[in-house]
Amino acid sequence: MISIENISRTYRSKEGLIRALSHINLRVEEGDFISLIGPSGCGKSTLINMIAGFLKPSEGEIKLKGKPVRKPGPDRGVVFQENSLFPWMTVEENLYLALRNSNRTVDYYLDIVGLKGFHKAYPHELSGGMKQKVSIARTLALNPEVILMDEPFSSLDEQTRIQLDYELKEIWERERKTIIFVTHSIEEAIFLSTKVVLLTKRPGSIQREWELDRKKRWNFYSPEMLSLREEMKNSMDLCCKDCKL
Amino acid sequence: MMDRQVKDTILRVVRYIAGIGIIFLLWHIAAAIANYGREVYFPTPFSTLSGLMDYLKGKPLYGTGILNHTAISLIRWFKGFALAALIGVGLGIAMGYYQFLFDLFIPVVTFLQIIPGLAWVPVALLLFGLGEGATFFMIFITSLPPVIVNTAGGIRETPPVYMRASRMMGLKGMETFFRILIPASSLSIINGLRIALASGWRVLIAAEMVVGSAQGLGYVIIQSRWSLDFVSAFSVIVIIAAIGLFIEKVLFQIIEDKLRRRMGFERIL
Repeated sequence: MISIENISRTYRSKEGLIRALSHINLRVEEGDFISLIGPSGCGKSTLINMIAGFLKPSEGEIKLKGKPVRKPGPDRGVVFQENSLFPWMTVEENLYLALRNSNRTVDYYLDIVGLKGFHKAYPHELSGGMKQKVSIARTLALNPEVILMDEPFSSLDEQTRIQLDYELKEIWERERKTIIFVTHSIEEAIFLSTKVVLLTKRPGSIQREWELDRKKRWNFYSPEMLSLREEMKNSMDLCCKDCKL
Repeated sequence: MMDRQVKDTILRVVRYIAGIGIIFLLWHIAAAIANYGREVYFPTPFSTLSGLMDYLKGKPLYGTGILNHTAISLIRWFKGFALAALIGVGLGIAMGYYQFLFDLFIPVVTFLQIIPGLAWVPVALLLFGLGEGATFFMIFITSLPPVIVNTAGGIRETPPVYMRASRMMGLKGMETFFRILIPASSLSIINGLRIALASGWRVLIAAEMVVGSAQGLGYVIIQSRWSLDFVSAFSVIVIIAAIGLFIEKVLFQIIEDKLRRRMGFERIL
């Protein structure tokens, strides 16, 4: 459904030309949940921003259902890392912006994320986790082909994050969505994904991919999870000893 | 047992009143010293207030009543300010949105901002001659830069994630403008208008003193200087201060508080 064809990205900075990503090839099929992990600064966010259309690749092409991606659009919904709800609009008004081309109701989408009854609340009245849930509801309301999530839960505390991971997985299964997810938590990636993609440090390229059983119910901190986590961590350390997640 | 909040409010009001009392006391002492063995009378707070009461009751003051002078000044002020607000917000939005317009105009705006209001007197006189046009020009030209600078700044400082979210949802240009950019920069715009209003008010009084307008608060001050009638000058100064305080502390404070709450800016930063 999405094909990322030989993408590279170079940008200019004070230290001269910097190559952020190098020759990335990736196919995403309908219903996939792909997680991108890798050392910080390896270009995970750059890649997702290029799929979203916020950045243009220097080389290569990204295609969605055969059509090249040129600019942002509602067929690629994004859940941002920071709060991106408009603070001067209520939850309902925020969702309406996304619902313009749909005949579903605000209720329907608030119900999906378990926030029924919060229509009239302003974003600043919600907790961090609730804000990200509204953000997810807004993205679902666009009814996009693919949902792009750029470290959506990284600013939340551990407990809330795990809670939201559970809920996100449930939503993904029920709504049959395609999701590309950037995270720096390996456990989170294992728990959620059908495929985990590990990028190398800059210039980021794909080091290894793990296909996971999509029916599997993972348990955080189970021995199974921990040993797979260890394997992924070791892979990452191969490319750079002092890399931090 | 009194509610704590009520108690705090009362305490604050008492302090404000005490503060004003101290100013009046110092004024009275200064007046008493100045009046010691001198011909020209330096008005005390009491003579000023009683003079002001007389004028408010309708005692004529250089051709017309004090309320008329006040109204004329307010109208002049508002006219100059309104035009500056209209052009300033429009130009500021355009400059905030398009980098090339910002680069093109910001040197001019900075230049205008540096020049003190009164320095425009010769320019105003050359362009418009003595009278209405000159005061209008001076208010306009001093109110304009803060509106432009703050509006453009507000637009430019809109968090990029808002723009990304808006593009991601496929909002069109005009929608993005009115639903995202303008609300996001509204506090900044209001702040610009507030500064413009205050500097416009100051330059108005000064302009009325020099560029020959036969009416208005500034005109009264300059006239009273020739006739040594300082009670009227002091009365006018009290009115100027009262209006300035009202605009700044009451009107704009209410607008800003409302906006802050409405925009949810209370707790997001």
